[in-house]
This record gives sequence, structure tokens and C-alpha cells, in this order.
Amino acid sequence: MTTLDYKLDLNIPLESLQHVEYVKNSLSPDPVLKPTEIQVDFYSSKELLSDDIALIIKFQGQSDRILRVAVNNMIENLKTCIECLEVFG
Amino acid sequence: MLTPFAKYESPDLKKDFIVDCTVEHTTNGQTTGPSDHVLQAGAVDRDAPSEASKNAMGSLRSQLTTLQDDINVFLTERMKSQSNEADLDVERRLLDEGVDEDSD
Repeated sequence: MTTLDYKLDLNIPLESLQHVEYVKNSLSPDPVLKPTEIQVDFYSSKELLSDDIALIIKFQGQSDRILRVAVNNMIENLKTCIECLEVFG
Repeated sequence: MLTPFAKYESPDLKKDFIVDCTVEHTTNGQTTGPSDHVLQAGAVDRDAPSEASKNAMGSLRSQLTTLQDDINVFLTERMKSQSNEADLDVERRLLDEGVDEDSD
């Protein structure tokens, strides 16, 4: 069994918890293609009992290579969500 | 001010990625989009990001692009050094132990 020892947490501050939910609900439905190699979990700062308003995305991967692919793709999608908030929010 | 950040952790290293909000950031990433080679061959980048607006979300998108570049560069360097170590390990095994991994 492989271990997911390579981790990266992204903290994305947003203007409101509603925006956090919008972004989280837009990104989280995408399934992870290789769950044995990478896991991605989404949290709002409220779930982690933090006073900040932020979306936290936690990646756990088998290697730096798989982590890089997953994080880069997620940030690309994240930027599209933020652009929507920028234009329509 | 909305400033994104990231924390990396592996068995041998921990690193924090913090965006410097005192400098200007853009939505044109250095590690995303078509390569220079493709652009010089005449390709047009139809997926190029729009310029960030002057509000907090525009600023966040620019900073996130910088954070993405920092993470990509860091992880690519890690991958390269791990690849070099793996090559050296194969070389060492071939030279020191006479193990030929391709032979049956």
C-alpha cells in the first residue's frame, strides 16, 4: 500500500462565507482520477473553526510529481471561479 | 487585503509559500500557458487570462498566479533533483554491484 506523504495546503481568503461556499461547491464535485495516488479535501475556514474567511484545500499525494499536477490544475480552476466572482460577484 | 498562501510538507522538507503583497502581480503566469517555442512558431494563446480588475478579487487572482508559479517552480526543481538522484542510484548499482536492471 502506498503512502500519501507529500502534502500541500492552499489557503484562499475570500470576501464572504457565501463566496467560500460558491467556490467550494464549484470545485469539489470533480472526482479525483487516481485516489490511490492523490487525495484532495475542501474545507471552509468555518469548518476548521477559524475566524478567517477562507477556502482551504488540502492535497495529499504519493510524490512531488502527482502533487504538482493536481495543485496546478486546481489553481487553474480556482482562478476561473475567482474571475467569476470578480466579474459577477 | 486578501493574500493567498500555501504550506508544503514532505518526509524531508517543510516550506511555506507567501506572496509578497508589496509588489505588483499580474495574471500572466510564467509557468502556465503555451511555451515560448510554441508561441514563436506562430501559435495564438486563445486561453490567455484576462487582465485583473482593480478590485480585491482581481488582486487575489493576480496573487494566486504568482503563488501558482512559485509552487510549480519549487515542485519542478524537487522532481528534477529526485530524478537525478534516481539516475545516480542506478549508476551506482551498475558500477558498484554489477546489477543490470534490464537483464532477466
